[in-house]
Amino acid sequence: MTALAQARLRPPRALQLLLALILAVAHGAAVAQAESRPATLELGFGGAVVADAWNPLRLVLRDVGPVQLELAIDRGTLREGERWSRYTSEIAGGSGLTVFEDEVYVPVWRSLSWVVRSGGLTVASGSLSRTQADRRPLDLMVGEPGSEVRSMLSGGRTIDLAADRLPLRSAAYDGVGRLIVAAPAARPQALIAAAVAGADVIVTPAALTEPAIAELFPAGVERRAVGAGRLLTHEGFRAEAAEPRVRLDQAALVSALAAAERIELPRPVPMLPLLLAASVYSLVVLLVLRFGGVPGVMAALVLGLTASVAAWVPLRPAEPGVEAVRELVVGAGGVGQRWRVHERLTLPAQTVIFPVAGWPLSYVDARQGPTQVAIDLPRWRSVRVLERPRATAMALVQEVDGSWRNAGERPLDFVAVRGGDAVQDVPAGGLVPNQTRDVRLPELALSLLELLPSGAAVASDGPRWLVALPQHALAEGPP
Amino acid sequence: MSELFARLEQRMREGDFPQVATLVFAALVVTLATAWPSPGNSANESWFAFAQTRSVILALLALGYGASAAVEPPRRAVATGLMTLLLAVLVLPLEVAAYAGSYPATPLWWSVVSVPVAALGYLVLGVLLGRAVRAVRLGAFLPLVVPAAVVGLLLLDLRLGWTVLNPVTSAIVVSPLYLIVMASLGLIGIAFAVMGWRRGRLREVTA
Repeated sequence: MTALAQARLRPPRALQLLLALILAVAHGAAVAQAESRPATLELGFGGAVVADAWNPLRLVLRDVGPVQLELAIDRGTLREGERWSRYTSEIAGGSGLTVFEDEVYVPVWRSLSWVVRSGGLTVASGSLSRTQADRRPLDLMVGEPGSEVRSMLSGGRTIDLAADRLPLRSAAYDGVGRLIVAAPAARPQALIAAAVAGADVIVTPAALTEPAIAELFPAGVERRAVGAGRLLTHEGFRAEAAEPRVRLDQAALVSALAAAERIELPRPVPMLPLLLAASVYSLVVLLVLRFGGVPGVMAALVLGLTASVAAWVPLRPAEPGVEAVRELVVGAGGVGQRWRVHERLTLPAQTVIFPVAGWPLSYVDARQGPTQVAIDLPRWRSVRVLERPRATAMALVQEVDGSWRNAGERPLDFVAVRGGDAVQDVPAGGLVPNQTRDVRLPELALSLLELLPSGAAVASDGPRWLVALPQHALAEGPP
Repeated sequence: MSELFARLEQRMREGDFPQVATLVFAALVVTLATAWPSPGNSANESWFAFAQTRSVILALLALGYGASAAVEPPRRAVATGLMTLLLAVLVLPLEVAAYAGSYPATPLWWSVVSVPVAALGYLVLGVLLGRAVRAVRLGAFLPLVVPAAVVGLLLLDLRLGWTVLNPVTSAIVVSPLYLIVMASLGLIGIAFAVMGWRRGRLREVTA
């Protein structure tokens, strides 16, 4: 083909320019449309959701009035049918930008969809495929840590995140395995929140140039236990590459807590005394009616009224429901992740409302919101709800010399160290003595100890259970 | 009033009442005992079984006595009705016992109110049934017609999807319509009973 023929086949320059212009305009319009969406919802970090964990939820509204967000999750099975959990929240919205942030528990779902409505109209909606339900923890990366760190993280679910998108509440990091901070813009509170939740927070030299972040590492410290997780410098992380730590299974600890000391149903009055009383009443009424005449009728009516009151008092349970709260704090360094399990037993069928953000551990339909969980329960049933975890002070701390101290305001009933001592009655502010006594530990304490690494301690001050992780044994996994 | 009590006393001394009353109490005590949970059971469901059994037994009793009262002298019929009502009220302590332990969502006032009202309503239905059966000269089949009527009322309610006439579902579910229908029937019955009582007195005076 000659050059002339080739030139004839090529589109004219004007047409090329026109096509380029159209593409540019279309791209610009698409970007503008994305930015001008009235509502954008992000579940998880960068759209990556960790199943069976608390995930951050962020809804951005642009110039939209009051809206209702509904997140519907079906965690049912083919065998047992649908089991819906509906999270709803009313958001005021208004002119300008409104950001709503919360944390929601996301189970392994069969269907997950969300919709934002305003005045009866759907403003935005979306869904996640069930194939996206992944239990593996995330590795969050803020800034560019370099190829060395990236290669050490290979194989995980790595998400790049902007420093200002790091949540400040520890519950958001429930599904995070590691947080790599390579940007000085990251807020130290977010780093501590991630560590409290159980994540390994790895801070690179670039991030340590920020004094507020550098303050997290006392001089010479490369690894530091904070809450259920740790803060590590780049050197500390590198040194540990040869002896990787098994992550503490907080879900197993919470399961042990939830399974222990369940509320028992009220025991019914034995049948024999009841049968005897009913028979005596019937016999007396029949005799009075048969032989008492008109006065007998009156006496039978009075007897009936008296017997009703007499039956009511001993047979009626004192309360229509029983509620119990169990608390577990997992942590180290004076701070921990608090897990609370609420359990309620109801005798009449009713809608049970827990005034907390939570997730039902029982396999039931639930209506949730930022401040409450509502569950319709049939008669004589109990339900357990796991409250959203939060950071709190840790009463049991390990001193520099390895001894334990009760830093709380209440005395501890006992302190038991895995592979070490077990002592009773540790006063508030007191040191735990290093001597083994014949202490009979509760079932729950034994269950918790089995799940902990060597050197970790379990304690209780009555309603609250403490799992304190040691500073020196963090590199060890559960045996 | 003394005449009314005297008639009631006389009626209760007749042989059928002690037998029927004994049977009713025995059936309900056995129901309570069998429905009561053993210590290992998870929930106390005794009230549901008891209330439905009580309701069906009293409905059968009221329909039966109503049907028989249709051919009785007016004053005796009134005494029969009162006797049935008395029996219905006197089984309430057993119901309270089952209710107290079960903690159902249905309020207790429903049992306290519906038991006597339903007894009155079924008595009137029984009178109507007795008259209808005898009008077609099938009075001999009354012992079969009464239970058949209870089954018929239940099927009718189930078919129409409401709780208006049947004693089974009405025992455990608050149904204002049921209460209205039974109370209306009861009021009609009371009006006829008052008229019958006066007419009976007139007959006795003229006799």
